[in-house]
Amino acid sequence: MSSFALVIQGAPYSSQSALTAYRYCEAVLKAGHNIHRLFFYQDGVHNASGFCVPPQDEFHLPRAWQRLIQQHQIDAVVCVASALKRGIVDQAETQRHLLTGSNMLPGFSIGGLGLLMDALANADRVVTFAP
Amino acid sequence: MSTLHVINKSDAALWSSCVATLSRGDSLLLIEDAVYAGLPEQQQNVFVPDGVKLIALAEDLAVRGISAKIRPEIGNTTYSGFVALSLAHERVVSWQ
Repeated sequence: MSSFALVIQGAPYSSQSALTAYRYCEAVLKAGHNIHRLFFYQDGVHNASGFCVPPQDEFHLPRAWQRLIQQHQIDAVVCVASALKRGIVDQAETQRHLLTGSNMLPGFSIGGLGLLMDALANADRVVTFAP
Repeated sequence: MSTLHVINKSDAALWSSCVATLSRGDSLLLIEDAVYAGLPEQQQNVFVPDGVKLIALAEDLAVRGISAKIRPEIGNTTYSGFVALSLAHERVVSWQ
């Protein structure tokens, strides 16, 4: 069993890259390997948005990520600087910045670039998915 | 130390940077819109050195309707093959 870290830099529905990352993540798990961490970076933070409402007959990528993360207890980190700039906030950030609501899906957590460095150092493979 | 290179777009400058770094034993995987580079009329863009495998992601070929049209020397693989290729090489470089 090997460990993988995925860096996801694309927003859902803007390019194919976030969907490619999701399919790759499924294949890693199906092969019996471990996901050390998912790191959502730059526009990739939109994958953690609970406010995405695609048409009902279209694939709901943020909720699909959430299901995969919760089913397999994956550490899914959303870069704090990327997220705050783009309006992706959890309850703690909502309170800290006196915002009116939070939108980050449960299962994802806010974190810093140190966690990306940890993934680079400790995962067997790091694979980046950029738009 | 072999590398899996992953490329996802048909950008000429990106391609030339990528191809210049390929070494014997490496693999070059075409995904997303980069699979169009596997069409015969695109051959001049995807010349790779000897000893480098050129592979396309089957699902991305299929959704673009070009599975049967790509050059015969280009292999194809599934997502599980993509994962296996990632482990068969020491590192994965995504060109962007």
